[in-house]
Amino acid sequence: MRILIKEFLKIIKHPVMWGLTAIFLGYNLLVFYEYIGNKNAIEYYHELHDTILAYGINLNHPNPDFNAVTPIAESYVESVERSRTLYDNLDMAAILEQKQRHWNYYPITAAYENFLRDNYDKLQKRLEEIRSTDEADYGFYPGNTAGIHSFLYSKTLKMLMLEMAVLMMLSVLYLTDYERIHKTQDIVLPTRTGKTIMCRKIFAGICAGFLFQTLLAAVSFGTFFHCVPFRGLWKVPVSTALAAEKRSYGYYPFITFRRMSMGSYFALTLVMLVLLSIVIGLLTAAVQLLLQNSYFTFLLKAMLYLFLFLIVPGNFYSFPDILICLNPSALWITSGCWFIENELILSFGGNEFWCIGLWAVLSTFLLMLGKRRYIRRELL
Amino acid sequence: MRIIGKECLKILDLRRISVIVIFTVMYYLLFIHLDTYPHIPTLGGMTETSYVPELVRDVGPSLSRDQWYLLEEKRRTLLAEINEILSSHPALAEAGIDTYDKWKEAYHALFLASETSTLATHVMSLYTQEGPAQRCLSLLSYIDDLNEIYEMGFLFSVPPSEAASIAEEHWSYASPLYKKVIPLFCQRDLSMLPLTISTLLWTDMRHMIILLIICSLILLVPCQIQERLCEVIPLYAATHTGRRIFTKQFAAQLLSCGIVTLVQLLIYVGIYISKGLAVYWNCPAWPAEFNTFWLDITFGTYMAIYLSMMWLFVMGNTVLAYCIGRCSGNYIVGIAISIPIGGIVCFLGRKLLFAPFAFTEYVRVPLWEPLGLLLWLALTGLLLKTVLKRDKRRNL
Repeated sequence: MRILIKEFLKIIKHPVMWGLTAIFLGYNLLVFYEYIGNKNAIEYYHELHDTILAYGINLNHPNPDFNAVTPIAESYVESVERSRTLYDNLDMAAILEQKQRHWNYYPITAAYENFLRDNYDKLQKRLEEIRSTDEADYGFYPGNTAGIHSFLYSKTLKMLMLEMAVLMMLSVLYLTDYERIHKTQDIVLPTRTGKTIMCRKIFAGICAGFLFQTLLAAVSFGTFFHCVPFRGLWKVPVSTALAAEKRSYGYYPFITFRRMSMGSYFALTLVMLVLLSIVIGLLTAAVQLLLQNSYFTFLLKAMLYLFLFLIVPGNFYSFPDILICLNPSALWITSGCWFIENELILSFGGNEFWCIGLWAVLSTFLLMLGKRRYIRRELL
Repeated sequence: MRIIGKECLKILDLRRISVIVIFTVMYYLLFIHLDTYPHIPTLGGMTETSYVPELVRDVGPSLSRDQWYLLEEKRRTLLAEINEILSSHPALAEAGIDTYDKWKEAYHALFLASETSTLATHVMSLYTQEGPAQRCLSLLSYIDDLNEIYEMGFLFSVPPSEAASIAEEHWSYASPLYKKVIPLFCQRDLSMLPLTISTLLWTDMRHMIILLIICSLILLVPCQIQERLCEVIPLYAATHTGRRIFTKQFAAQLLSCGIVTLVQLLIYVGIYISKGLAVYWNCPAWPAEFNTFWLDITFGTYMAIYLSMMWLFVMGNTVLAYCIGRCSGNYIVGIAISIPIGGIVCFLGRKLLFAPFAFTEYVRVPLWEPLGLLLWLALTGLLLKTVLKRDKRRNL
């Protein structure tokens, strides 16, 4: 425990990680200012938020005293009326065909074709469930004008994921390569405690990475929710028709795999971020134990993620495509649509956790290999 | 010289070069459009543009008003060809679409109506599928666009007597600088360089500068960090010859980075030539749609100047990479400092080196790109001088 705390403090006391966190935070705040943080934007979103609450959260029971006197209120009422028909003619089988045409993606095996159809049949059942309840009829920032979901979960989350990955990698690498850089390996490695110190270093590195990531995410998300208030909207279902946004393959609402409110969706997203960070930390440690060079470990990992980005979606038109798409870079690409029907190949519920699980197993395996190599190495 | 050579060999480490090569390949696949030319969905009109080299070979790299008959002759030839193709097409001939004008009408009507009938498929496929019909239709469409520019009457080959009033007549809202120079530019010939080719180069160079900056940082940042970790800096600093080695190390870094950057730029030029785009090198540097371009040079010369400016910008970045290496105690600190500094340099590079020498109605400073580049080199030169001077005197 003592070694763990000392290793943790080693990186916490180093100013460069704090500096990098501050720079990332500054960049995020700059982006926020441009899109949602300037005076006009804040006034707009606050007024729109008040309008949404004043109209009534449940669109089937609007406030009878509501008067659309301002342009924002009028525009909101128009968006509400326009969104009422979005679920009427929605058919998941038709969406599957549309996507296959759009991406020219036709399975070459019957089993894979059946797999995709089954996924969309399940989504059709989910659609019927949405239609039979009032899940589609809740107020929210109109997706076609405000685009809050894509700004928060696509734009902001993509930036945050990259920044958090860098912070986690550097935290782990700083500690795990510390002895080699400072030439204290010959003191540390000959002892039994020294041979096992790497486990504590990896754990301390991941914890330190979490600290920096939490700071970054807390201030970033805090700023976002200050500019775009969510008070009173946390219980609104994500599948509400009003939140629908135009996507490259069509304009229809977000069909979540299960009923999810904005609050639970956000919480699940945070859980995903935590799990992804752990996987990145473990993978970084594993590669570092194998390569014993923090510089090349960082470069190799960056290129790995770039390679994984490149190979998506695989284009085997069969089951290997699923395996290829279950990677952290694909999670980054689809960050705006986690837990939502989105991408053709990963159109089954829980695919995000399958990805995390797969890469956690891979990282653990590599970590065990690296640890074994590290323990057996001899210093010359 | 021997020390510089040995330092270069140290810098051009096989592992780092391998990383740079692999990263460059992946970056090309992701961001550089040239390798997928002419199938670039994000840059419209590329398929049409792929046939324009034939036009350049037939009518020349530029056209004045007096030479317009060459284009009209080419148009007549193409019309005869396409009319023959249309009249020999059974489905289209049956529908009465046997001339280019009728095909064009039908195409626009069916396209707007988003029809998917058999006739629509036949009409569309002539333009969308590779073949002699696509070639004729693309070239005719392109020539028609050029004819529209010709009809406007004020964009090229304007007689000197009329040039003076052009600015006030058509660009009264533009900056004083623009209004001052447009009478000069509108007297130029029409360039046969398509705007899409210029756009392709500008877009690729925007991505290329990021690639070059990242590669220079990958190559150079660990060099000085390695020296520090090997604890040889106190040894260097202990003697007069040793203190002079810092300058030689920087020279070696500059040379190595220069070679790597040059190779990367030459690879781009090689791909450019292999795609058959070198035919545009004799065209004037300004694209067909506008001639607001400072320098009256060929596109080939422009590309050479452009790539040289990119190379010089990266050489300025070498100073920053050297400083990052000197200031960092270990690799992690080096990476952590490189990320924000690299980001800022990439941002500056993209702003400074996007479409140099082309200017819009709102530009107020003539030839500001070379001025900006000179300022960048001056600042980095000053930084380098400060660091090297400090190295000579510092007490370790």
